[in-house]
Amino acid sequence: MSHLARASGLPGDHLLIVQCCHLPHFFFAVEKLRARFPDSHVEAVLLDHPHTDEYLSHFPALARVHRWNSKRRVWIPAPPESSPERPLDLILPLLTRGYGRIKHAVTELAGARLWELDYRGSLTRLSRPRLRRSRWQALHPATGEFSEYLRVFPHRSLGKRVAILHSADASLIESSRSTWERLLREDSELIHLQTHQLLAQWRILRRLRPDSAVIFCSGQRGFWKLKILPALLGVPQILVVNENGHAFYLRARRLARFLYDRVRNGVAQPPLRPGIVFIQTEDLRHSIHALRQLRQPPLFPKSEVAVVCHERDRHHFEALAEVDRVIGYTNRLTEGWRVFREIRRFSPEIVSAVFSGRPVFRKQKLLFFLLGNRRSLAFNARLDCHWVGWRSLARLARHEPLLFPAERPSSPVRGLFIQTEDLRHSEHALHVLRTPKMFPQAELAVICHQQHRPYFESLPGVVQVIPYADRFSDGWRVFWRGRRFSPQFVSAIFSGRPIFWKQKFLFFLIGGFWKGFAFNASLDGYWVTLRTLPRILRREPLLFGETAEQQAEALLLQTEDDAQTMEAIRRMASEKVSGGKRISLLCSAEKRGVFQGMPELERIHAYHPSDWRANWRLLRRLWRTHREVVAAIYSGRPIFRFQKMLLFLLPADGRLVFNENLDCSYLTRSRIGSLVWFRQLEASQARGLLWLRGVLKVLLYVPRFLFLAAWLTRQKLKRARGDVREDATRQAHRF
Amino acid sequence: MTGRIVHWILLLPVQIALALLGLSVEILRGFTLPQRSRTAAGPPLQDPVCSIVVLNWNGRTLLEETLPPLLEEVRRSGRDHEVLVVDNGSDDDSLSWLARHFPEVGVLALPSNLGFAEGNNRGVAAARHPIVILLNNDMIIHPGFLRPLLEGFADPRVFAVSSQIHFPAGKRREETGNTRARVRRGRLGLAHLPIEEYHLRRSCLPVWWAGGGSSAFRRERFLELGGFSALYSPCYLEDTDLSYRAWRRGWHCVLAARSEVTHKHRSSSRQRFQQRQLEVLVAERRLWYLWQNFPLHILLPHLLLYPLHAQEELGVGNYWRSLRRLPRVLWERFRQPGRTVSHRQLRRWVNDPLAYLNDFQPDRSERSRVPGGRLRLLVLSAYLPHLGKHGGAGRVFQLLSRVAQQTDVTLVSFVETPEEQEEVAQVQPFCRRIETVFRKRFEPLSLYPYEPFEEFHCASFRERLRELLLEEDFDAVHYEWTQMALYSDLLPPWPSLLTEIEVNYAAHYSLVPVERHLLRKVHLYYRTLQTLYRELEMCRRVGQVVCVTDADRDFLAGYLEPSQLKVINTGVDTGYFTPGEEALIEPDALVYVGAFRHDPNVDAMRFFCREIFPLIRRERPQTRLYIVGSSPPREIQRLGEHPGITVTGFVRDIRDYYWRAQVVVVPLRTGVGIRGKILEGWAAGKAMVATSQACLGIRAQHGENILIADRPEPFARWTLALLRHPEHCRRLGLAGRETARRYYEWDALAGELSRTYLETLEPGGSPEREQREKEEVLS
Repeated sequence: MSHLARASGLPGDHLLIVQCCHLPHFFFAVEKLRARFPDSHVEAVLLDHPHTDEYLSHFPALARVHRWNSKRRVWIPAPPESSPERPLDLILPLLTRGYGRIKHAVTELAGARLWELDYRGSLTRLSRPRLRRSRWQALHPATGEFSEYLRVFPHRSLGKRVAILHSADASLIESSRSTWERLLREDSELIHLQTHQLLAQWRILRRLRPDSAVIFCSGQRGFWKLKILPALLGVPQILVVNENGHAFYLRARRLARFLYDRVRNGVAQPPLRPGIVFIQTEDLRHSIHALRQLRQPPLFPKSEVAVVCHERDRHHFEALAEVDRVIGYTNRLTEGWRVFREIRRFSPEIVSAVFSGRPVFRKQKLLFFLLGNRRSLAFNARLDCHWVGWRSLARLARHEPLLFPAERPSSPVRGLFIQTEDLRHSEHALHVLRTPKMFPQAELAVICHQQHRPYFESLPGVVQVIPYADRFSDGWRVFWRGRRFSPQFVSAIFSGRPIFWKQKFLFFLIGGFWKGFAFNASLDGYWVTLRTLPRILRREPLLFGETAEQQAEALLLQTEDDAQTMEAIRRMASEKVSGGKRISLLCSAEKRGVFQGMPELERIHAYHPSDWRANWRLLRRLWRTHREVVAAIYSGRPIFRFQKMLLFLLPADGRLVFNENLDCSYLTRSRIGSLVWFRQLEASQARGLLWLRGVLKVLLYVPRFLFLAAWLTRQKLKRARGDVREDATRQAHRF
Repeated sequence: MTGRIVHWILLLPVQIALALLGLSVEILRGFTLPQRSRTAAGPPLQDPVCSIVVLNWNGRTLLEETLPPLLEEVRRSGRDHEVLVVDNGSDDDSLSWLARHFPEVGVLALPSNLGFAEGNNRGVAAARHPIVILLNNDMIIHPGFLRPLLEGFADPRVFAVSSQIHFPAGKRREETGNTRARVRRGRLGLAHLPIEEYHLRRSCLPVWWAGGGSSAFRRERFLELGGFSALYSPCYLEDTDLSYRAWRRGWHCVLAARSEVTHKHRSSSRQRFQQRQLEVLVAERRLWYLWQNFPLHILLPHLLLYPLHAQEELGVGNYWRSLRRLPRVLWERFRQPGRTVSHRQLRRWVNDPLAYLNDFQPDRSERSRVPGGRLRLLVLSAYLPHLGKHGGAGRVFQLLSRVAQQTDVTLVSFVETPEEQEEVAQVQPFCRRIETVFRKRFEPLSLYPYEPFEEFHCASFRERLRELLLEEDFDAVHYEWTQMALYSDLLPPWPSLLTEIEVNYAAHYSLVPVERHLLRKVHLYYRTLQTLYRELEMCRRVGQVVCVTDADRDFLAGYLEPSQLKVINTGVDTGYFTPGEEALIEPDALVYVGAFRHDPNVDAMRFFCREIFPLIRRERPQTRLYIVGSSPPREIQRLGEHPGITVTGFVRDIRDYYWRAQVVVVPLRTGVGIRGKILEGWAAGKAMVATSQACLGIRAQHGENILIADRPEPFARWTLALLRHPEHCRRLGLAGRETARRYYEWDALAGELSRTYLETLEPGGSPEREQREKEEVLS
């Protein structure tokens, strides 16, 4: 045979097949070679690996096995021999890339001829360039036969105690049973884990400490806790079974490749027969329509559907071909628990219901959410379906009344207006409330003094007047009548004048905090919110009864020396800066005399450095007085820090800042940074930066000293050589 | 904010793709560009003839207002300027109206509306003259429009000259012609800034772009650049793009603010587009302009941040639509030739016109100087010239008041207090212009321990000086005190002179022997070195360094060229300081005069009161010491509590104390420079006892006009001797006054200073200077 083969250009009878591919590929190639040359003496070179022996026990077809340790680059025990009488034919199945070292080692064997083997078992002569190419490229595409072979290729056996984690649909686990059962030992002990037993199983697993685990990565949503459980527990051997029944042992590289394949090719969902629970939340007609839709493509034609319905409708659903099972309930309280358990026993993949927005079947709708199923499918009123996620949940909650009675406002908006200003302003405010932009059709109730009752009754839109007299008990009566009117908004004018303070208080009692609509002195309206509430509190005397000050006044805080402050006052007084506002000054009591005579100053607020009570009173008064402008000088000097802080704390419409040259500008959001950061940087107010600078200076002291000493020496040497003139001339020209 | 973040997330992949595209184009461009193109400067055009191209589309009514003043201006100029109306396919009766009323106007009728860019390109191609003025039909020119515009082309580097734009009365002035661009937070801002006074004084200053509707262009270069890009069709930002491309090739776009037009804004575009459409048009084109032209280091942050503003500026939908011209934008970017001017340079020139002037017109002073005219002198002073405050201020006051008789002096000075500001009136008579700036204490984040001149860094001074230099030119610059040379980077290489009132490093070095603590001694030595390093830096920035004594010159001579150094002594006003009457002399009265913000004065009094005065008092208990001078620190004030010592603080007239003194003491151990107090004592005819450190650099002869002693005992001995023998005091006083009159008169010193100014003005130096240098070389 050998002479004949040699003459025909085929390999002889001394064949050496080299493991230059993965083990499944290699043994597949060995089988092909054996089928092709059944009588030849086939030896093999395998990489020296601890698992090799186990695989070799499955494939006894090789006459002799040589081993090559690619790390140490040695043959174990010795390299195969080739002689002129019996030349060696090297068969290289170049089915995967890589394995450069072993390829290089075998090609150095003297007198050997190189052959290439493909998936079909055909042999061709192998050239050196093609061998080099095979290092970074698999030269043959896999065939269907090999894929089938791969399915049955034996992996290493699983451990003695194996945890089977049901991290996929039960049907998939069943279909891939043959894959992982092959790897079980005869004495293997199996531990099954499912989703709903997670916590308990966690404890069990920790106690039992399994040697191996099998997880199923089918591409289905969910099950991630189960999937990561073995890795968290540190199970040494984890077998991953995918949706096609293929399996691999988990290693970082293999996992990365698996995930890469997932990203690149996506997941072909295995044919499942998911269990679906349909909860009846609408009338029969709609429910049946939804069920039919559920069992039609592209939804779940092969699913198993259980319907949860009232016992009286049972026969309707049982008559449907789409329904496999009916779980009925009556009106008894205990029925709810039974139904719940029955559903859980069914362990549905999907829960479905119709959410049309009608206030019916509220408890059933609640059940839909109580089941806490991983996948929930909702139908809307038009029977379009969608998965329920966080976003759609919010939408459902908005549309659905669930357990609360539906509020369908058919009546016009009702508003309550409390008179807190004179009649002219109040009438104007009522008019504003009924403008098209606000509440044109609003029905308004007005709380006013009884002497104004006829006036308000004559105004359009006012459907009710709740008057009060001066008696104390009237307050309660008015409060309850106002509440009983159940207004959707409460409105009042907060002009800052110290009048009607009880009525203003009533505004908040009756609901002004959460549905209040306030007007300012210019009758601009705004909703009372957490942001706007301080505006009212600051301006209004409310219960304190003090006179609020609302004046076109500019307050300068003394944050620099006297001369600078006086100059700043003069600049503020100019028409260009503060527009002729009255100017007041906040300064120390000791300085009052310095500024007293200035014609530009309207008023001086003096604080006493030692009297904190008086200062607190002054501060309170300043805080409660809303000014148009508060100004301060930010020269960058680290003085008057508290006063500088007041610039931000005192209420004002605008905050004017002077710089060190007394140029001024109004403070805006974008300029705060420069005020606090850049100016501090310039003036070294920031302690951190000062500290940093100090550290730098200490660190650089010696190097700088050395540099200067070296520089001076160089200068002196230059001077000695007479170069200094040229140097000086050059420098002078440069500038 | 949430919306912005959502847009940012949505658009980020697109932006990344754009960035990668931009990067690829840049790399490809880098490979394919043969070399960086160097553009040769064209010939200067003196009083050129121009073609005026007026683009018109359905604007007959506008032409009725535009053409008459234009033709009048052409007639007034007396040159053969061409006026060409390019009709962009108007369907009103513009053409027939033109033929009827202005037959002398050339007409180029286009078959349809080709847009602003193409219409103007056709017009420029058809123009006859080397300069083309492009005018929109809604630009009404002012009298004198042509001359400043055409004068700009005398500079061969200039590509386009823009005119100042006004708006009709009652409308907000949205355009001025003074154009700027800025990319901030990923957004490109194009703006017209107000016209300042200096724009009207200067013939041309740089702008980011020359407006396509009111500017003059060199026709040859316009065509070489390919004209307005059709990418921006139908309108807006073609001119910005063209100007940028010109700048990058080294061709300048400038503004001649004296040439003025009135713009009836968007009269044509409003016929075709609504307001929102116009806004979208401009925003789109801003993006394309940015993508096409700007360098990657600006483009990448823009791409990262722009999605935050996309909705607000353009709308996300419009933003997607704007990508339709992306391939063309990238192609335009790819085909741009090599750049001569970097974006950074361009931004520097346009944002800082002074830098532009310094770079391109460093000799502007020479050009504008009238032969034989008065010297225009700029004095930068660290203190306000003033009599009676301290020696330095007095010196500069005396010198300037005399020098100003032949020169126009402009003074820019620091002042420290509002009171000092009021003393400007003292300087007013002899200064043509005075600018004062408050000096604030300022601590920049310097890294090295001790920076000697950092307290004179002042942004407002810099800004004031910048404005001044933009408005005026000078023949010479005088830096009064070393610190002022910090501002020399703002000035072009004009002749300059620096006065070293005292050599700072030598002053520091003089403290070293006095200090006893070793570590402090080391630190003083470090400060000396640091000061020397910085001081030489300052001195090397100027042409001439004036020292006040020979000793000071010797300190610097080792490091600077000797010809750069000159000595002009400080003088004394012998007419003011005269010998007092004998009756005024208080027996056994010692006087010391000094400004106590100067540390050597403090040290001198500390030394005298602790070590010398007790010795004197031991012999003559009736002896009194008057310590006279401004700003005495608390330590000096406390000396007044000792018996026989009076601390006066600032006095209005120090002559009273000179006249009262029997002996004037000058026990200075530290500091250098001339001691004004010795000169004043001499002029007042007083006998003096001083240390040798105090007499450095002045004509003091021991025993003849002064008594010199360094150690406490001899110092006390000589003082006691003078106190005991009034006739010796008289003799020394007479000799001292003679010395002051002979060598330290201000008039002679001012003449020397004037000569120095003239020497610095002449490039080769004065004949005397040449002669002196020859002698030095020969020796």
